[in-house]
Amino acid sequence: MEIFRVKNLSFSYPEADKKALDDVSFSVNSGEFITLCGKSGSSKTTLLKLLKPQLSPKGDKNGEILYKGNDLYTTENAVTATKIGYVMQNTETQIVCDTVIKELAFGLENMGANPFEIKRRIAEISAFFGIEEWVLKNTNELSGGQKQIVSLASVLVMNPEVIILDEPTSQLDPVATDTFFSLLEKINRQFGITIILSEHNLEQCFPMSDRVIFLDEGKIVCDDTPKNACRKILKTDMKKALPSATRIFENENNLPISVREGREIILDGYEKTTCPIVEKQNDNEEIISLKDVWFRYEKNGKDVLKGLDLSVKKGEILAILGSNGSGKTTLLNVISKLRKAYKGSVKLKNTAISSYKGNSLYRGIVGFLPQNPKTVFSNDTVREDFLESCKALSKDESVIDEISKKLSISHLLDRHPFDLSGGEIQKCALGRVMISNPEILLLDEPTKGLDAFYKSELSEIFTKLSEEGKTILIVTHDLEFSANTAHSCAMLFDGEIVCKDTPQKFFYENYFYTTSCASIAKDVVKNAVTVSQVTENLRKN
Amino acid sequence: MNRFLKTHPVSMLVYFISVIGISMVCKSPIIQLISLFGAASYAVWLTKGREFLSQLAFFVTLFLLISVTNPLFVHNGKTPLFFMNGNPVTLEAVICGMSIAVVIISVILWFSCMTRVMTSDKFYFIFSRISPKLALVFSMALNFIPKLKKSYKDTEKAHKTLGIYSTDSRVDRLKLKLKTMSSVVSQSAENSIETSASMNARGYGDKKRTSCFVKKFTAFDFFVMVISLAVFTAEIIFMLNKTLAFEFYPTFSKITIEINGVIAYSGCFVLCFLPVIIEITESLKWKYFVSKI
Repeated sequence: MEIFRVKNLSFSYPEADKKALDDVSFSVNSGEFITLCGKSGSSKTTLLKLLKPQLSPKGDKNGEILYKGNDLYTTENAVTATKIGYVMQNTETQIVCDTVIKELAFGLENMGANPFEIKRRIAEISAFFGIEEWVLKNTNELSGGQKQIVSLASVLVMNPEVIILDEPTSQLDPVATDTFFSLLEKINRQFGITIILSEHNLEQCFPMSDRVIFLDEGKIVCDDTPKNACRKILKTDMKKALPSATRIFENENNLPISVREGREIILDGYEKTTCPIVEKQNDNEEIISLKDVWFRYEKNGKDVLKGLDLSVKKGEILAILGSNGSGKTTLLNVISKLRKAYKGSVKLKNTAISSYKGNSLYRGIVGFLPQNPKTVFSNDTVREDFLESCKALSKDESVIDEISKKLSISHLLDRHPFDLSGGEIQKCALGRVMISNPEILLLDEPTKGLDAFYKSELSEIFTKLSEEGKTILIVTHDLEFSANTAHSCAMLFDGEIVCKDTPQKFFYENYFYTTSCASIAKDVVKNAVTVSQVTENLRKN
Repeated sequence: MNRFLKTHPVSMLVYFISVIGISMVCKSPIIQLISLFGAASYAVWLTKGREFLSQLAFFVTLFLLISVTNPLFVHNGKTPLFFMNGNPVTLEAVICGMSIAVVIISVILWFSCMTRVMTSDKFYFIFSRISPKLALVFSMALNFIPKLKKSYKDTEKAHKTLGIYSTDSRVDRLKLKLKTMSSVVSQSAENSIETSASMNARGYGDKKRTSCFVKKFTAFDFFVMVISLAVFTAEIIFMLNKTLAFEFYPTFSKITIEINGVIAYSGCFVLCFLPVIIEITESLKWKYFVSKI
């Protein structure tokens, strides 16, 4: 049965000279799992929102959207509210109520359902998701991944036919992402609920999709099975976003799209080789030195950092990896003097951190880019914020031009910071942090929510900065990004750095916490953890 | 064990309104003392004694302060104790001050018990009976406050590390707070647009809202409600027919023990000590059960 049929849909926002969607046609059948992909700004969100009348943006709309054969926009509101579920990107803002149970009840209460019916549905859904333990919890006590599961459950409780998800995992860490995707797959396979998902994490969602719709500049470039879609995407600059297996074996006849398929190919026809280990020689002086650092948030609380030692050299890019709650963000807070360790020494440039009086630490030594880049801005345009920093730090205004050229953000300076896309605001926030010209940059999850294009751009920026002698400390969950960018990777576990090594050794020696490239090539190409390392050393039998 | 905590929210609200109402209005010192001891005993039960003891110093100071202040300003009364600056300090005024202090302290104690027992979800339930929309606003506010706090903390940190505000100048510290506030306000305005989209997406406003929170109204809840209402009405009647009337000036009214008075005092006793009586019987029952297990 056909759920959606979109016919020649065009859409443009008011006062925009370009069409956001241009003659888009496709159909969605009941029970399908469809992935919508495309670069940031390719109007994925616009298309998804047009499929949900309650969220459809204001603008000029031409063409038709049929929902089960009838015009979607004349279908009764109560039907579209329950039958078409919508899960958003931001885990924080889409939750309305203060406790999980109220959040789950919210939609059904809106529909005026009978209280006993609501209770039954909540009981059912929490048993299915295994979330009984959190049902009475406050929503703000949950982790990002748990919040997103609650959002999915609160849509599912209304018994929808189709669920639309707009980059639901972009704010989640890899473990939470896995959990979320496996839930989605379960809902799709077990109950035949149609799923339309927009995502830039193609590695995981391609193998489970029935069809992939690839949008570029508001047009559908391809609407095909994942394998065929991959073939088309390989020819575009979206290539970087494809699963590692596909990128490694791009000329293979039966194009692999999952780690398993990639491994089958590599084990069958390739010779065992070793990728030379490239170790970045760094004879510079030590710039960050932490010795036996202990930290806790509350007097009688638990220790978060437990005798942590860390040494970083000037010009190094260090990626700190580890699970949620292992103390990664806390470590950055301690290095940036936002928090004080109760024991141990923290030295920056061979000077104890406590000897940096007042804000002298923040004027040329340390720059801190927090997880939420919005928090860095407080004025109406990016330029005003930059000027404010320049004035206070008595820097010449030419610094702004220099930085915006380096980060290619010149065209964004006169926009409101909150109107920028995820990648754009991340770069602008980095720009503001760089005005004080800090020697050490501390970055908290800089790639969160970014697509492959922005990630590779950030990677280039970081490499350039490190060549200029800046030291960069990245706290991240993004394994591929660390493998491609960092000079060394460190694993934080239970308040301690348990290992610190070059990305090649680090990821090659890990079995589970590693890049998908390393998982594919593990037994054939030794020490290869990125796509280029694998392809350069791959030799056919 | 906390049986009273599980009372139906409506009965509980009626109970607290009656007990606080009587404590505030009634002038009879005996009723006031009963209320004070009832409130104190329940507070001790709820906090397991410790917290109440730490507040004891505060209550004693408050008591002394109020009892001393009244005679300094009020010079009515027939029994002067001594003269200060040519003004008499009378026994009646001292006792009246004490009585005011007792009322204030018992009302504070009742409210502190109420905030412990009437948690936000109980108010949510009551609101949802009156208007599901009002209840939603209440729930959204409870969700919004911690988010706002977190956002403020994060933004303040981010602004601090920008290095544009010095830490030793008061003006700069104020500027940092103001800038943070303005950033937080625009961030939450931005976020609330998404929240309202999420509400629309789930059909908010399409139909008349219901509330899924239903609670059974048990015989126990009925019992608490009836006692509260009965004692409240009885005390009001006794106040109107002057059984519980009491005057401090020019001198104390006589407290005569008659049948009406005994009924009034014992009724008040039952009401004020109701939570403690319930808890003690429940824990005795529980001990009996445990001994059988």
